[in-house]
Amino acid sequence: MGSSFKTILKQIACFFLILTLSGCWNSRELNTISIVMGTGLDKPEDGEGVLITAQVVKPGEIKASEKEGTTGTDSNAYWNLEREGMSTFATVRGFTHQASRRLFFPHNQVLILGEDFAEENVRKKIDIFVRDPENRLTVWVLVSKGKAKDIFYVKPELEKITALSISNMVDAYAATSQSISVNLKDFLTRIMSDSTAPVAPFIKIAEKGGKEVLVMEGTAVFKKDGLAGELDSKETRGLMWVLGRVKSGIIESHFSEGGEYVAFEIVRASSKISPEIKNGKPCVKITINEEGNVGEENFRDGLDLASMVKELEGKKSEVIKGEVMAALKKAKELNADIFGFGEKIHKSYPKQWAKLKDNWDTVFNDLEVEVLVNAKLLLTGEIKTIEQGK
Amino acid sequence: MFRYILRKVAFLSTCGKNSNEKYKYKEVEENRLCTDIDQNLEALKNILGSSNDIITREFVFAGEGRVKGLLVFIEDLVDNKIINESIIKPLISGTPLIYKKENADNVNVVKSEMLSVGDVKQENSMDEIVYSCLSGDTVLLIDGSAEALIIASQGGENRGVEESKTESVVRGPRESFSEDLRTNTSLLRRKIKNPDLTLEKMKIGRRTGTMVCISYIKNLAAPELIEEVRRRLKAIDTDAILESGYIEQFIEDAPFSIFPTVSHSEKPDVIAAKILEGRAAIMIDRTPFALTVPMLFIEDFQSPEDYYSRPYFSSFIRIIRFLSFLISILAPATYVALTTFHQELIPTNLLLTMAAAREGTPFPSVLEAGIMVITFEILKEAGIRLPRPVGQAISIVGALVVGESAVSAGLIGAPMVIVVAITAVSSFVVPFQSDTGSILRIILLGLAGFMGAVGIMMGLLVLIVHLASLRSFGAPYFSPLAPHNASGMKDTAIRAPIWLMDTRPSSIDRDKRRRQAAHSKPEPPKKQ
Amino acid sequence: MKTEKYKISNSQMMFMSISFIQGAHLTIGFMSDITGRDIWAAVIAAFLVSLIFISIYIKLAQKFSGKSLIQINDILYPGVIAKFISLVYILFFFMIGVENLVFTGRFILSYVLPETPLWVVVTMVNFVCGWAVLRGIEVIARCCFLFSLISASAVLVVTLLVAKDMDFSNLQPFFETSLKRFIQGAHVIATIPFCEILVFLMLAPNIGDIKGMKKSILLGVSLSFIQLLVIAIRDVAVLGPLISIIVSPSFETTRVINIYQIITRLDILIAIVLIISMFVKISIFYYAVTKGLAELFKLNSYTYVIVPVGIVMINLSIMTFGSSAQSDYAAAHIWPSFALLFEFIIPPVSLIIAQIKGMNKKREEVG
Repeated sequence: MGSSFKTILKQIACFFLILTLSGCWNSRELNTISIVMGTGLDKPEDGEGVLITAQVVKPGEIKASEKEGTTGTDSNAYWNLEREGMSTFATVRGFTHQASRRLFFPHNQVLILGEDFAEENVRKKIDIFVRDPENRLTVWVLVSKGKAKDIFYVKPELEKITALSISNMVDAYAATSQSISVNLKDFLTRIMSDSTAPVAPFIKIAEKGGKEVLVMEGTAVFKKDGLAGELDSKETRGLMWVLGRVKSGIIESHFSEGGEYVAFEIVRASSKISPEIKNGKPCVKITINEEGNVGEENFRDGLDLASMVKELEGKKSEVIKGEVMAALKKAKELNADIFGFGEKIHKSYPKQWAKLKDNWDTVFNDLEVEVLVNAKLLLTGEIKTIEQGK
Repeated sequence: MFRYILRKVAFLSTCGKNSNEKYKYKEVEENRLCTDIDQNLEALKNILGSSNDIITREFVFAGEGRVKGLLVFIEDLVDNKIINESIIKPLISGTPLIYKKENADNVNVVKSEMLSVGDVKQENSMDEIVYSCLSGDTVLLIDGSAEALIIASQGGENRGVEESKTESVVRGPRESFSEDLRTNTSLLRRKIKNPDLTLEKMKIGRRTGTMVCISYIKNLAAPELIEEVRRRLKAIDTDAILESGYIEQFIEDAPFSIFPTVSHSEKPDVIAAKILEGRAAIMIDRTPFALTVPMLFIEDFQSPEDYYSRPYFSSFIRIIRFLSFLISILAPATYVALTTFHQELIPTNLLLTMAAAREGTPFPSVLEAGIMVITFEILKEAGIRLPRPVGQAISIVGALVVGESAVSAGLIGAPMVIVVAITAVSSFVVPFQSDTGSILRIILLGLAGFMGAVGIMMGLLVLIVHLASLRSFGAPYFSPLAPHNASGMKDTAIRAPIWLMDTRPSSIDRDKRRRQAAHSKPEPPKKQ
Repeated sequence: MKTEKYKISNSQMMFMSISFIQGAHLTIGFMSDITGRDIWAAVIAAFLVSLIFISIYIKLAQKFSGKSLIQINDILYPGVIAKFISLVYILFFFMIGVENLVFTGRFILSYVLPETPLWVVVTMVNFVCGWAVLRGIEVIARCCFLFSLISASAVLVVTLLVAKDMDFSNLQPFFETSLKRFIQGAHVIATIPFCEILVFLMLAPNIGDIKGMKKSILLGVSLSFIQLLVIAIRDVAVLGPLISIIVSPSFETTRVINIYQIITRLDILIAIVLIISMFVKISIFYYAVTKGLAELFKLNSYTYVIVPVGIVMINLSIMTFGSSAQSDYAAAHIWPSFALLFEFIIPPVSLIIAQIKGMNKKREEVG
C-alpha cells in the first residue's frame, strides 16, 4: 500500500513538474493578439518587393459602438497596417514594429491582390499563405482594380469591418451569379494545374452619392500565374454556367419590339463537360441544364404563358448560350483555359493528354466547343395572364 | 520537504496494514456469569460504571419461592411499555412458576412461559450482556442461574421513515432509510419477500460497537464476493464507525483514486435494485446511507427514475447526464484552451465578441477561470452549510457580487461568468460525481492553461486509462465502456426497455443468468 | 482483491487492432506524395499484401500459443542467434515507437503548439504512454474500444461535413503514377500501418483466446482498412492535386470544413483524435519493448525498465531527426526497406522452420 501510494505521488509530482517547468509558450491571451481580418498585397511604388496591408480589428471599438448604438461613426472598428519588404513572410512578421500586439492570421477572411501585384509570379509570392499553418485554404482570393490597400480604407455601411463585409459580399455572390467566388484552395489547384487558368473576382471602389462603396464585378483571369485579362459580368456568368456554379440569379430575355422583356429567376442549374477525341482532335461538349421560374414580364397585352412555354424556354436557352459563348470567346482571346477543359481531357484521356499537354495553348485556341442548353420553366408566379382592358 | 512528506504519508499508510498484529486488543479472559445474583450485579456495575441512566431493577418472582430477579437496562434506550407490560408484569404478578432458586430449569421456564416478548436469548458471556444492554436490550438475571436472558426491548426516539432529501424523485417510492438499522432492514425486507435475502450482522468498532449488516441475495450474489466483503469488514479494526463513509474508506479498492469505488444510497428501492443485480449491500446502524459493492462508474449516471419512466425519455436524460458531466469537468478548461491557445477554432463573429469582452480584464484567462471556479465552490459550500434562510441570502449575494459587479467593474469577462455558471449547473446533474468533478475540473483547468487542448487531451487520456485500470470488488470499474460488453450497453448511454434487459450486468453477475422470461415484450392479443 | 489474471478478450483484440492502425491517419501524409491521387489504390494493394503476412503472424502465434515473439525465437533458433534476433526485434520495435513519438511531437508542434519546444511535447506524450504501460497492456486493450469509437466517429463526421467539397472527378485519371512509384507507395503503406501489427506477437501471453484471435484481428484490420480507404478517397476528392504538396492531408481536409461559418475550423478536434490513436500505437510499442527486454534479460517484471526505456525514447526522438521533412523522408524512403527484413522475411522463415521442426517431431513420434 505504501509503495503504491508513493509511486502515485511521484507520478503526480512528475506530471506537474513537467507542466510547471515547461511553462506556456503558446499561450496568448485574446487581448494580446490583434485579429487580422483581411490582407492586401500590392507592388510598392519603387518597384521591388511587396507592400502588405493588414486590416486588424479593434475589439474595444466593437464593444463601444455596441453600447452607444449607432453613434460611434467617428472611430473605426478596424485599423489598417501597412508595411513594405522584400519577402512576404518577413514583412508580415515586421508588423510587430508597428502594432503593440502580435498579428493573428487564422481568421483572415480575404486576400486581396493588387492589380499590379498580380501581374506576375503570384504563386511564389503567396507561398506563405499556404505554408504557414496559421493560414487557411478557405480564404477568399480577390483582385482589386488599383491598389489593394485602398480597398481596406473604404468604410462599410452595414458591417463594422471592411474585410468582413467583403467576405460577406463574396458569400452573397449567389444572388446574381455574376461574380465568382474563389478561395485559396481553388486558386492554388488551378495554379498547380498544367492547363487550367486561375480566376479571381475583381473588386473596385466606386463613387456613389459622394461616398465610396465597394463593388464586386467581373473576373480576373490569370495566365500561368500572372494577370492576363478580365471577364465582364456577362462573361463571368457564362463561365459560371460552364462550371456549374450558378446557384440563382435573373435571366432577362428581351423581345425586340417595344422593350418588352421577361425576367426569369434561376432556381437550379447544373452542367456537364464531356470531352471527346475525334480523329485525334479533342472537342468538348457542354450540357447545361437549367430550371427556373418567371419572375417578371412587362408585355402590354400580357403573356399567354400556357402557349408560350416552349418559346420562353427557347428564349432563355438563347440567353444562356449567348453568355457561355461570350465567355468562351473571351477565353480564347486571352488564350486562357478558365473552364478547365484541359483537366477534363486529362482525366478522360490520360494517354492522349500526354501529347496534347505541351501545346495546349494552341489546341485550346481552336478547340471545338459545342454548347447544349436545356432550360426549363417551372412556375409562372402568383398571377395568371393579365389581360388589358378587362 | 517533499521527501519528508512522502515518508510520513508512507508511514501512515503502512500503519493500517500492520495494526492487525501490533495493536490488537488483548484478548480479555472470557468473563462469565456465576450463579450468585449479587456477585453478578457487582460485576455488571463494575463494567457499566456509575452512569445514571443505567437502571438496575431488583424484584422478586411471583410465588412462594421468593426467588430474586434483576433487570438491567438503559432507561433512554428501551421501550418502557415493553418493560412494564411484557416483562415486569408477568414476572411479578403473573402465574407463579418459579419455586426454588436451585431449579436449573428456571431460565427456560421464564423464557418460554412467562415473558411475552418476541426476541429472547440466553447468554452467559459478560461482554455480550453488556453489549446488549448498551444497545437497548433488557438483561434479566435470575438468582441461582448462570445464564441471563436478553430481552429485546429497543425503543426510544428514532427519526421516522421520511422522504429522501438527497435523492428526490418525481415518480417512484418516496421513502428513504432512517438512522435505525432495524427500520432499514425492514424496508428492504418489505421490498424483497424472498427467503434468499440474507442479512448478516456483525459488530464493528471497538468503542462504538456499530452494528453492520451485509445484505445480499443468496443465489444471486457471487459467493466469492460475499466472502470478500466479509473479509474486508472483519479486517476493520478501529474504535469508531460513525457513518457509512468510515466503512467505505476501510474497504475500498483504490483508496488513492479520486473516484469512489463503493457506491451509496439512502433509498431502499435503489439498494433493492442493486442487490437484485447481484451486488452486496452494507447497511450501517445509525446512518441512513447504505453502501453497495461492487460499484461501476456508470452507476452514478443511473437514477432510479430512469427505470420508472419510459425508455425514450430515460435514454435522452442519460445522454444529458453524460454530457453534463463532461461539461462540468471540461467547460472552464476548454474555454481557457480556446481563448488562450486555439483562437482559430472560435467562429469569427464569436471571437470578435469575446475579444471585445476580454478587452481590459486584468488577469490571465487561467487565473480568471481559477478564481471563478474556486468562488463557485466557496458559494456552494456556504450554501450547503448555512441554515436554509441564510443560505439563500448567500446565493443572492454571490450571484450579485460575483456575477454582476465583477463583470461591470471589468475584473472578469462576461463569457467567463457564463461558462462557470453552465459548469456549476451541470455539476449538479450528476450529484454523486460532483465532488470528483470539482477536483477534475481544477486539474484539467491547470492542464489547459499550460498546454491548451493537448494538455486537456493528455489529462483525459490519463483519466480514461486510470478509470479502465480501476476495479471494485473484482468488477472492472469502467465496464461496460472499458472493457466493453454489448449487453451492458443496454443500460449505459441509452436505457433499453426493461423487457429487453434480460441479463444482469455481466461484470457483476458473471454467470449471465436471465432475470426474466425470454419473451417479455408486451403484446396486445392478436386478432383472430 | 483477486489475483486472477485478466486476459485480453477477442473483441478487445479487434478494437485494439483498429486503434492500432488508426494511428496511420496521421502518417498518411508522407505516403501521399509518392502515389499522389492513386493513394487509394495503393491502400487496397497494401491491404491485400498485408493480409498474407498478417495471417503468417497469426499462424506463428497460434503454433506457439501463449508464447511471445522472444520465446518463439528462443525455441526456433539456436542459443546466441535467438538472442540476437530477439534483441534486433526489440530494437526494431523501439525505433518504431520512437518514430511514432517523433511524428506525434512534430504534428502537435506544427499544428497545435508551434512555439513549444519539442522535448516538452514528446515528454508529455511519452509520460502518458509510460503511465499506461505501467497499468498493463490489458488496461490499454480495454480503452481501445472507446478510442477506436472516437476515432471512427471523427472520420465519419469529417467525411460528412466535407461531403459538399468533395469532387470525385479528382480521383481521375486513374493509375497515372508509374508502376515503380505505385509499388513503393503500396510497400510503404503495407509496412507502416498494416504489418506493424507484428508487434501483437509480443502480446501473445496476454491474449485470452489464441484460437479465436485470427478472426478478430483480421476483422479489426479490415475495418480499419475501410476507414483508411475512406480517408484516402476523401482527401483526394477534397484536395485534388494539392494532396501531393500538403504535409498532412487529413488535417488539411478538415480545415476546409465550413458550414454556415459556424461549424468550421474543426482541425484542433481532429488533431486530438489523431493524438489518441497515436497514443495507443506508441503505448503498444513501448510495452513490447519493455516486455521484450524483461523476457530477454529474464527480469521479474517489465515495470523495472519502463522509466529507462522511456528516457531513451524521449532522447532519441529529439535527436534522430532535425526536421519534419527529414523524418517524413526517412519514413517514406528508408524505413520500409528496413522493415522488409523484420516484417516480410523473418516471420515466414520462422514459420517454415517451425513447420519443419514440427514435422520432424511428428516423425520421431511416429518412428
